[in-house]
Amino acid sequence: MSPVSAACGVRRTARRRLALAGLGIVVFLAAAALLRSVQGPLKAATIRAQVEAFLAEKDDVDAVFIGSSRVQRGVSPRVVDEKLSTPEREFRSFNLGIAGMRSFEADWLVRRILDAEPARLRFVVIEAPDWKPEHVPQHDFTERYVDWHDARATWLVLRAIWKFNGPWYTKLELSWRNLRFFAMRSVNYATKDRLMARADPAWDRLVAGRGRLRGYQPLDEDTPRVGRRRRRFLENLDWFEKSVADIRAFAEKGQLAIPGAFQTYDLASIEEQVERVREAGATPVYFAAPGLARGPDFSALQRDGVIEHLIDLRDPSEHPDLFAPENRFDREHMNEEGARLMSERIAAELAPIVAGVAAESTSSSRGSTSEDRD
Amino acid sequence: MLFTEFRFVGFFATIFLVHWLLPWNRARKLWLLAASYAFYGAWNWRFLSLIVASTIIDYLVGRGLERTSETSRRRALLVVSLLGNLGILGFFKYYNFFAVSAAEFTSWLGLGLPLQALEIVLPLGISFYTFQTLSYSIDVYRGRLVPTKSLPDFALFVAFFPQLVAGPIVRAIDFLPQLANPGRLSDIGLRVPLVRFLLGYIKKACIADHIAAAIDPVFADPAAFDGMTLWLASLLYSLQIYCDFSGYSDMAIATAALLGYHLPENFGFPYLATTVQEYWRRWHITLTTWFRDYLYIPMGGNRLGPARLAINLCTVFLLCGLWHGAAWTFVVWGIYHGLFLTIERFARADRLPRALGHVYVLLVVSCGFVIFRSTSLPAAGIFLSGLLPGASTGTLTIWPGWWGMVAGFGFAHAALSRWPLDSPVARAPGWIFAAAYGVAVAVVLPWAANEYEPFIYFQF
Repeated sequence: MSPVSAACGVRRTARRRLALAGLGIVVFLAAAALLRSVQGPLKAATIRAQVEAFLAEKDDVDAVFIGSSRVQRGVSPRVVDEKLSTPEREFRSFNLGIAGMRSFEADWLVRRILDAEPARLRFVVIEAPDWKPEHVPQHDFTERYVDWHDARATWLVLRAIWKFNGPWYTKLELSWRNLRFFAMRSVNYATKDRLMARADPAWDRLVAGRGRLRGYQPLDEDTPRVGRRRRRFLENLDWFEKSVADIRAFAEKGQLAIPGAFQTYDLASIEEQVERVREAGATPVYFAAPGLARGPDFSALQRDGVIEHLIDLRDPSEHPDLFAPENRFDREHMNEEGARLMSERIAAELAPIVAGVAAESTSSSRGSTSEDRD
Repeated sequence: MLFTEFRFVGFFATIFLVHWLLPWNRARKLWLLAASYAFYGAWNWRFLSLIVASTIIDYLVGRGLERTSETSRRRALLVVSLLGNLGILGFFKYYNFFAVSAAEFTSWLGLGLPLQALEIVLPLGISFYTFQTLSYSIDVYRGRLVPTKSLPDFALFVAFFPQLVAGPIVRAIDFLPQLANPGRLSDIGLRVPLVRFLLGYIKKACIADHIAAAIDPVFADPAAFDGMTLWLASLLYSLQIYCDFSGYSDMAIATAALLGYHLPENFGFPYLATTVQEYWRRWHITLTTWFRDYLYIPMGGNRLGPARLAINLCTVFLLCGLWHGAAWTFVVWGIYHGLFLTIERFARADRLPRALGHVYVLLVVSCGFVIFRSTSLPAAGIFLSGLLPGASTGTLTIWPGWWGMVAGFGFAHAALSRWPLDSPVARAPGWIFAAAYGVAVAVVLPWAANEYEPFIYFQF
């Protein structure tokens, strides 16, 4: 064989192999997508049961609360509903707070809920997000953490990582980590349990359990599981009270927010979230829980018109009962009585927003009726 | 870095592409050497110094042996290699075992040697690459191998990443000639290694790791489980360790093949053996042939009468056990196999009916692995005594569906040995293979265990 024909043969083989590799990859991705479509819900009981319980009654829900365990353990939909229901119309809310949920996962959950097109949903109350793309080691490689890394969420994280102030190697490491999660999700890595989840007899019971209190989980109910946190809190009450005093002092000086904090976070993501909720016909409401740490300046976002509604419960002078040790389960979470108080406070702040939206929709429906007549 | 990790896909894709795009063999070899050091360094870069030290010692010994024909000088050079390699291995792997054992023994005698355990991290794969470098020095000393003049070639032989951390144990006599005669990508069949890698992945990530999660509680507290569960757990561990180690070997051999290199086979369907002797011809083949060629035969093998044969077998298998780990469980496991091999030489186990032979081997091997897997000899004793009928007082069980896994594995093991996949894979039309492989990978990945389990043989 001449060198020229040998070279042609090598090129032909290479082209053929590349074409076959391409075919293999396309079939692989198609098969993975097909498998994904028949998968059951997440194995991780908390998020899986919570979301499924919501979806079971999605068309009867007016408002959802989305956020971390501070929402999950602190907002009782029943209390909120009692305050906001009128003789003419029952108000129904659902708590989709999930322990450890941060901004990007919450945004993914917002999208997932809106994609389900809940017929009556008018308010999406979201725990004020920081959009800080941090690495949370205990979440790494968990099924739940991998699961929210769809293309959109991964893109948001990557964008935030490269906006965030930090050394390039940290950005690279965080990017790589999140890309790995995206790849793991795309190929259904280690998701066998989900393929068989529907067959799990405990599943229906779990969902029904979550649906009973509409997502709210009082901390007093599962004291043994979180008993250690409770004991630590009681042992360090002095420290808690000092932290409250510090926060109060900051609030009195008007320094509850960390100056310039939002410059290091991802504003674009907040704007897109607000837009998405509005497009779905709902009103986004942001909620800052009573915590012991200073945070980004959400009020500034409201002043600048990025967000319209903010329920801010962070000032101990304004909401002393939410910072009282007897209403706390631990330093981060309310006990059942604290949750009742916080839910009443949220309902009180939501009431004018609900009324405003109701008035708006009445006037727009009157307008459209008169237009119909014309 | 593990072959089953996601990052390995990216790592290997880069290595593969750059390797085959480089036009010169010398550049490819240097690239592979750098990749191999990076692969090892991803675990702990500090221990690269040990590999480099081992490489330099044996390279210089080889060069020295080439330059001299004087027996005493040659012997001295070999001793340098043996002391250097076994000294490093002995310190990192065996110091604590011998120190603690000696301290306990002397304390029992009332002497009390003041020896204390040190906080020593066992370097990954040290037993594997030590045996590789030793075989080079011994082969050069015996005049069976012409020492290489190229340090990078020798370094790549020692550190070649597919087999660096868990074998197969490669001999220089097989590997160095391959470095001189590079293959071309167009000449290499990619399908067979791709299928082999996938099979290895299934064994490791989809079988071994799941079994580990099921039986770890049984080995942690055997007294709490009933007798049938102990039997099931012992069979499952035999299955786990096979799938873990042979799965790794499959992936190593496939990875090397995709780069144009041939690595020796390490397993030959060991659970189809009908005698323990045949089992050892099929299990961890590169280690057993190493011990045969460099220890058993030089000790006299079977040429010096029955008594020496028994001593030789037990000594070799005691050392084979110690090679696996520095603990009394491994020592007893080694002697246990040495005794069965000795008995078989005199009792002619090969005369057993075939079916009975399979049962006998499975029984011997599974009970042996109970000793191997147990955390201590007393724990192994509790487990083994629980296997006796009616002896176990425990009540806990594990999912009985695992019996189905044992049966299914037995069927697949026999079927694959009778009908190897290589031929149909090579004959299938290209587009069918590509599509089937894509579907197979998509179906396999969800069945991977949730967390990365380290390969069992990494600890050796």
